[in-house]
Amino acid sequence: MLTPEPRTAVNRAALALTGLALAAGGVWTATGHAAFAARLPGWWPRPPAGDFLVQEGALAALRTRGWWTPAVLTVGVLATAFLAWCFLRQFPRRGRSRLALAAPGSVLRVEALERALAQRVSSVEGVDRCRVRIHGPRRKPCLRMRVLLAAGTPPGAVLDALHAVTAEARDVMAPCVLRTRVRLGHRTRRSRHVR
Amino acid sequence: MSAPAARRGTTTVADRVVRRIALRAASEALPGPGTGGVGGSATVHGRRAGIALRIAAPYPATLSDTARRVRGHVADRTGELTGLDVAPVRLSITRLAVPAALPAPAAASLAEAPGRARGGHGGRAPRRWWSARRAPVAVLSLLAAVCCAAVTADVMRVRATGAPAGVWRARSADWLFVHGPGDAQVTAGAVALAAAGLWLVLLALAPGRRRRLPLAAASPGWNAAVDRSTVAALLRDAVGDVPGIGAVRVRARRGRVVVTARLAFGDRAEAVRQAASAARRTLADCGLRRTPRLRVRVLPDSGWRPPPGAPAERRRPAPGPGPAEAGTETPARPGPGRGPAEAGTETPARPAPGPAEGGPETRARPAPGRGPADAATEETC
Repeated sequence: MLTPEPRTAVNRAALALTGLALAAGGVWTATGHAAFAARLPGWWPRPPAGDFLVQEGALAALRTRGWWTPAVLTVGVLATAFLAWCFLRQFPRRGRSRLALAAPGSVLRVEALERALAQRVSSVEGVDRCRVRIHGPRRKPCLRMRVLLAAGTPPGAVLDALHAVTAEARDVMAPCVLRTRVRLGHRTRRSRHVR
Repeated sequence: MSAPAARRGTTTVADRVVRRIALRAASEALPGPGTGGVGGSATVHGRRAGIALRIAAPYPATLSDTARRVRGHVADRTGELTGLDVAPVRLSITRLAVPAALPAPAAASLAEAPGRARGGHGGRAPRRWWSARRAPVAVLSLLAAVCCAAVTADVMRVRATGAPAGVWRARSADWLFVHGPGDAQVTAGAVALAAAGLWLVLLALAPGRRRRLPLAAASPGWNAAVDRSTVAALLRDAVGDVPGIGAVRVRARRGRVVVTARLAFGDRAEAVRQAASAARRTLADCGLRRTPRLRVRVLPDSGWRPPPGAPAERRRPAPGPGPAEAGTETPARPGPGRGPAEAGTETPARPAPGPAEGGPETRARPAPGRGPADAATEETC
């Protein structure tokens, strides 16, 4: 039922794992402070007293190894590339511009359908503007409408017409299944009464 | 008499001839002259012709049917007229022609809309829309990428040129070598990190999209939500239209909507009744999946006077907000004829205005405390 946002699960899992790691590491490190350590039960894992965040001697020993610098470089380059890729993936790319139709050898320019639907929705009474985007995989594209209502129009007044437009779109795209998500808003606000 | 076929010469059909024929065939297959906008290209290799077409398809016909029909017709006609073998036509629909005469979409055309549900399927509408959490992941990954890139670049520079490590890296390393878990700075940083981690976990678990209210009208593969600010604007307009109501303030949250209206003139109880009913109607018109609790408050403006024909008991103990709400509501309202010492806040300690205190002005002023008429000043639904 819920039309899932792309990458919701991946992003949320990444956030949860990062958050748990940070929280665990932060709490563990913080318990090294005397004020906290005194109030904790005996079994609580606490960092060794008098230790440092990085052992200078251990790091110097590692640096003498031949493999250390190449390993740091490799991991650094790979991690940078992966993180940059993650960063770029967060920006909603324009979906693929062509959608394959059920008829062999035929494609639809997605923008054509977006424009036609926006035109249809804008002709509904009570709708001020409309923007339509089609995202998603080829088999199950997702239709997203951002509908700006004219002042004083309740959402309930246009829902039937929006249903009708999406039913049209479904017929147009048959047999491909089109999921729809409509976000209603308003554009202008009437000025306050002055009496 | 006649030479063998191989020696009689060959007939060559030029690309643009095939193209013209294919375009004409495509226009034949498309209904009406209004669609127009047919373009494309054709190539001939020996006895084989390849055709690629761009067409404007009629809306709202099923596109795959249109595509199938056009492809078949173009291949047949071109093959028939040129005698070439036509490879499968590649078709691209670049425009949808919406006829100007097409009636506006309306509820009438909805009878055959599949999967329509209003209210009856209320349980199937999602309780919330879920955010994809792009922004936090983008910020985190950018921060981490910048750190990784800086360290890697510095290590590379050191290795390539033999120069000493960057000052920032050396300083960071020095700081890490001498600070341990017991240190105050380290502890402060660790607490901050732990808080940030918990915040990230919260972001991962909470749905987000708090500013959208899902609508009850949903069906499989179809759902809608309205901006909270839109609901607030609708309520503001609806309550503002009630006679006598001046400025209106609406706080629309997901579970609770509070409408605070200022009464400029007219009977207060009547204004409350009308405002509450207008707000309730508007909220119902929105068709939200979960209708928030509604609370409507009407507070008299500074210049408000009770209507002359009003009953006496409604005139005197003019209902006012209780002390709990007074803190947020009343300081902005200077009472008429109120002394400077009283003007700031309205607390129970303030002497209640009695008949002995002054003329009709003070009698009209709202008094703290909730009398029997108090229930009329706000309605909770």
